[in-house]
Amino acid sequence: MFKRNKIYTVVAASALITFSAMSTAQETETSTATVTVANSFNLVEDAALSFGQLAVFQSLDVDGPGGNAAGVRAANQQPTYVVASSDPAGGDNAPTAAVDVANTVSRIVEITPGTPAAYSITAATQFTNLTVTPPNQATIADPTIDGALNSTFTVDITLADMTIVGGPNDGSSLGGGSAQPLRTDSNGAVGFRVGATLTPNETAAAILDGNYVGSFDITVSY
Amino acid sequence: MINFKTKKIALATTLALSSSIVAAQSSTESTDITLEVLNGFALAEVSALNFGTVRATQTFDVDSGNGDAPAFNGGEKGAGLQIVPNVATPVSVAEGAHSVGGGAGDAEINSDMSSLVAGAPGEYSISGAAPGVAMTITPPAEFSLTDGTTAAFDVNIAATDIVISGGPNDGVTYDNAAPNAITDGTGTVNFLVGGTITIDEAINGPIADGTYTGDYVITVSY
Repeated sequence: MFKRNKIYTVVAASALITFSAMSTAQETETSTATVTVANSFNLVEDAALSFGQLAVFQSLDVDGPGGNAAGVRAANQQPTYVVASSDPAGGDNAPTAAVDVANTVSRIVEITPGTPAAYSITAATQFTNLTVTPPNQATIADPTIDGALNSTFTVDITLADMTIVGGPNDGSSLGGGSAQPLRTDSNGAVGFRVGATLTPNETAAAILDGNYVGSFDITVSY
Repeated sequence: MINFKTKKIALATTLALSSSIVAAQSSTESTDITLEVLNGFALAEVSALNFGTVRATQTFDVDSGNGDAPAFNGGEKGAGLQIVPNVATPVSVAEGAHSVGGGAGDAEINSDMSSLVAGAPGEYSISGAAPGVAMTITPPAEFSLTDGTTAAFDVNIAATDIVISGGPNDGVTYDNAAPNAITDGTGTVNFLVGGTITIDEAINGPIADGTYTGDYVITVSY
């Protein structure tokens, strides 16, 4: 008798486990962005405007052109003293004579030269043109002298009275035919000197000895 | 009379063989399957985006008399600067288009921004990610910089303002369509974030000196 053996094969198939990581990771970071605004720049007066020491002779004994009555002088018939901005030591200053009128004895004599004002600009943008706004006409007076005597002077300043110091346009004037802009250098710096024309008050019977003072505003902007 | 003997032998052997085969095929082995899921990574700010020190001015001219008022066209902004990663000097950005009066010399918008001290792009560090993986970087939407009183500036960061630093694509501009910020063998990559700062279109008048800041969020994922 034969017994047929059956061979049983058991194969334990290892299950393949597939893991798909479909999730995403995310991180965030909060930061602070910054900008610093520096629109301001520095404008400093290095020297005040001085007219030095002057002798001013003024007479009302005038019979000017155009039929002016005696004792009346027109403003444009006055002597003047010009402080030039080209020389910081005042070497280029010059008085001008009064308009030639009959019997005039009005004149200004320089004893000690006046000197121009000087200003410095720093911390501005480099190689940038700045605009200077001249002041309105100023008046200087001696506060110890009775105002009714009109012993005062007017001070006139124009762009032509200004000379650039430093920067690409060093030495040029801010006004007149050969005017150049006030331009800063590579450090954002530039300077300028300011001269002026001084005219005695034509309504004063005489200009009295004294210390005459006043002030003016000068504006510099981008 | 004849005697017969028969032997019975084979069966025992066959049975023994059959047994041994079954025993071999029924053994099982237990195997551990391990899988560690590591989706997290670290994102850190190395430095924030900084636009440096600027001069910024924006004024709208007074109507010249034609009855027209200047105004920025929709979406346009004032003058600005762009910080480009790996470029030392900020790039000037002209003011946007704006409507003006009808005639020559009519009212205009005067908008200027210039760099006094260059700023620097922000820098961020990705670490602890899988090696050789492309990270997706999402810049923030437009945000404002304010000094606490006036939101004078707008900042825009585009995907093209982002430059990869380190990893296989070091120095390459980030590509939003096909993210290319690929981590190196240690799962690390950095990136620089530039951007554009512009004077907000609503500003009309002096912009105060000082520090203007604004928060923004950088998102990284994979």
